[in-house]
Amino acid sequence: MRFSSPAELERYREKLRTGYDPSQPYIAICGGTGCLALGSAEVRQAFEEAISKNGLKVKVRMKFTGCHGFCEKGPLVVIHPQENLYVSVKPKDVLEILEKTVEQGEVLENLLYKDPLTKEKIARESEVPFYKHQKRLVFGMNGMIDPQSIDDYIRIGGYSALSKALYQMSPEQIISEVKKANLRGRGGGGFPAGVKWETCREAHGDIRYVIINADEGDPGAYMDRSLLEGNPHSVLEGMIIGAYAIAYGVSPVQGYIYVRHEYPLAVQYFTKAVETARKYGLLGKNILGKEGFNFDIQINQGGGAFVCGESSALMASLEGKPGEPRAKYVHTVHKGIYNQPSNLNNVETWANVPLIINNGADWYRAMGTEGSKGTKIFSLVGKINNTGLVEVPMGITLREIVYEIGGGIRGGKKFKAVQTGGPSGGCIPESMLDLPVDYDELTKVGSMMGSGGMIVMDEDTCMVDVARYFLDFLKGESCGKCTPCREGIKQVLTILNRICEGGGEEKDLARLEELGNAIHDCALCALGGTAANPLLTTLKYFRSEYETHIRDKKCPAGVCRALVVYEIDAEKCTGCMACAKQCPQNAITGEKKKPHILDQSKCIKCGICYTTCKFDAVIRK
Amino acid sequence: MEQENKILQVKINDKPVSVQYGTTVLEAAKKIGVEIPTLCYHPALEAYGVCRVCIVEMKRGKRSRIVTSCNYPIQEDGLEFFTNTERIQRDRKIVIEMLLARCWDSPVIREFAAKFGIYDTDLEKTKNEQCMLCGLCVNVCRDLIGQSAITFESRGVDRKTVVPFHKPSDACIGCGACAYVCPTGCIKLENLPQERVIERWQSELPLLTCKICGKGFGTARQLEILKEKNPLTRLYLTTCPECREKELAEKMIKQGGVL
Repeated sequence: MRFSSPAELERYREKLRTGYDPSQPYIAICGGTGCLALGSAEVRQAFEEAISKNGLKVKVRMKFTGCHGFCEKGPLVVIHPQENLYVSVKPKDVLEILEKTVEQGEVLENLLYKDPLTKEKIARESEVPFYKHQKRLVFGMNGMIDPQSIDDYIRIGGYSALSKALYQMSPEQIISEVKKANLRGRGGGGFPAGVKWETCREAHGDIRYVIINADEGDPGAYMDRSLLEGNPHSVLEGMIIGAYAIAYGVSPVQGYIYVRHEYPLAVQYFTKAVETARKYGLLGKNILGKEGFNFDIQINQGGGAFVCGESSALMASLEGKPGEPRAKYVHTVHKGIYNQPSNLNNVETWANVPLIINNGADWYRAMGTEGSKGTKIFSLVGKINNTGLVEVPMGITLREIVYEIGGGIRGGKKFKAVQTGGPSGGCIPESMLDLPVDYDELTKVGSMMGSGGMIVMDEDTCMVDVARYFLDFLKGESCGKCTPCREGIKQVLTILNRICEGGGEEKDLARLEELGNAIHDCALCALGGTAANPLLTTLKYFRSEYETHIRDKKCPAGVCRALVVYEIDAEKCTGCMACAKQCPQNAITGEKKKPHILDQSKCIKCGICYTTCKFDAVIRK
Repeated sequence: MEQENKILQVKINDKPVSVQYGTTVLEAAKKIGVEIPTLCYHPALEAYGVCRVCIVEMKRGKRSRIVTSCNYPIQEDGLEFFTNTERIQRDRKIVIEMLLARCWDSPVIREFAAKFGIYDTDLEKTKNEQCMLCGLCVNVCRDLIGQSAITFESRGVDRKTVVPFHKPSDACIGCGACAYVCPTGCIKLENLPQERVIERWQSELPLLTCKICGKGFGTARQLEILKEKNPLTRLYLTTCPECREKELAEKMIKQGGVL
């Protein structure tokens, strides 16, 4: 079936809707990356087997959906229409869910989410604090559709934005709408997408390229992955609208997606989305019957280099050249792939486009701050109670994200810092937690929005070690083309290693600052330019930790092994032998019921005794 | 495009200069006698812009940013460039120190650093490294010679210039352009009686000898490729540049000043 007009699409949608009874029970099993890792495939199998074996008294629909976001509590199962969220579901729970909840509408208390603060069990998904404070627009439909089904997407209103764009708007109107909405690049740079599209449309070229950047390489970040795995058509629809706005009536246009090879499911689902979209006439010649609008997309898998997420490096890689950035003094919208105008946007940016077209710029602008509109997806990870993917309105404070959505710090520990923006983001201290999520505000304090990684750190985190960790990551991922990034990161790391090992000198701090500033000022690309952020922000906001490492040769958080000493408090030690049994070095000796002795010369400071002792008799200094 | 013929007015160190659209800051500076230090720049090649020594501060209205002068094309009126501000001096010093630490064994880099008053550094020094990874060898071989015999390997601090798979490359014609452009002199070219050796690339290529003086002057492969690309007279293929000059000069004298 090929739609050759918007009316045909609408008729098809009507047909899909007529055959869909929303009051019929619907079981949504999260098949996102986090839940899969926690065993949701087995849960799904259990459902399928139980239904096929026993049959059900009622007719149900079941879908293996994309990520719901609350990865901490996976595998997640939501039973509609009553919207009961069941967390940490095991295959053994399945029969009960089917018999009680699906057939009789009874809520299973033991599978509900329990608020750790109020101890209250919450039955409805939207009432769970993790979801309550979010605004899930881009992610909103993940739980409602099968990511492999274009019909599901069409049923919930998919491709209506494309139809509107092609038949009710001119390319210029679309651009002006996206500009008015002030949609800014969600990949990190925050450049206004509408302005980019306009420049690309007006640039000189024989062909235009539009690209989806799905080379999400930040450690711990999986927003784009979950979008491609959860709702691939929304990204595709955004891109088709973009291609039309950028090139229709000006030049031919070709699309690319550059997606990580390490995301096999995303590749599989997106490939399927592209194939079905072709069949339905949503890609290819005269899309949706629009005379002269021809557009298709090629899928390219990245080879795993972090730097290929940078636009010019990505384009070099697409051309088959080594993935290295070039100076962008002439922008890629003028000269990108094969020196032709090329418009690259990140997955999340594209997924925002259908929302803007359908609801209008004014609706979109109503959310957010002066300079940042709409919502942003973060992957909230680290020492926090509720890890997962969260979509929040711009302007929400970091405090709200950490405490309201994230449920605060794990194990009742104290908050120390939150890092936004991935490995080259900055670490923001407690005193700045009321900062709003806003491109410009985050940049002002030395961090950045980045693609949306958000790592929460507690009092047990050593900030010198954090800087060292990220710089080490960046050292491995630097392409090595320019001096400051290649040599500078290495030199910074050498000094940081020395400080962590107790060899820090007073002059090191000034030297680190000098090196960090030079990397920031002189690196060739944005990845190099921001590489010093973890260093510079920790130096700025956690300077005393550096000083303690250097002057007192102590690591306040007890992380840097060379600066930590473990001792046994003879008064507290009950002589239970637990630590001695666990010590890999046999450094702890003693008799039962007598205080043990730790031989410092054998101790490798692994900390196992410290975590093993139930009597706080092992002291870390 | 009309834009490309536009003449633009900018200032470098407060001196006005008018340049054609697309002129680099380095070229514009040269025009008015402002010297900017460079290391990885070579006029015969498209600027690669990686050593970052030629940085300058650019002011556009109230905003200021650092750009590399070798490849920043002037595309608008009214830009101001400053080649030696405090910030530039500070950053440039660190960049040179980084290169010095990497190429501590390179006399060329040490001499270069000394010009900026940098004689030593407390940064971690790499041993036995003279290559500063400017990329000129790779670029000249690919872009001017058209052979792509050498390439970069690995990334980050492990980056190296190599022949693919560390094996003698069939693509190397022994022209020696790489050795010629190398700013640190870490690519050594040696003419033995019968062959030309470029040790860094494991290249050993038979050498043609000058029919007049008997000296080796070019590899057979090199002349083969040259012949394909340019219509050359027999003289070019059989004699060394010195003898050729002499021969041509004598011919000119004989013919009364014309060839």
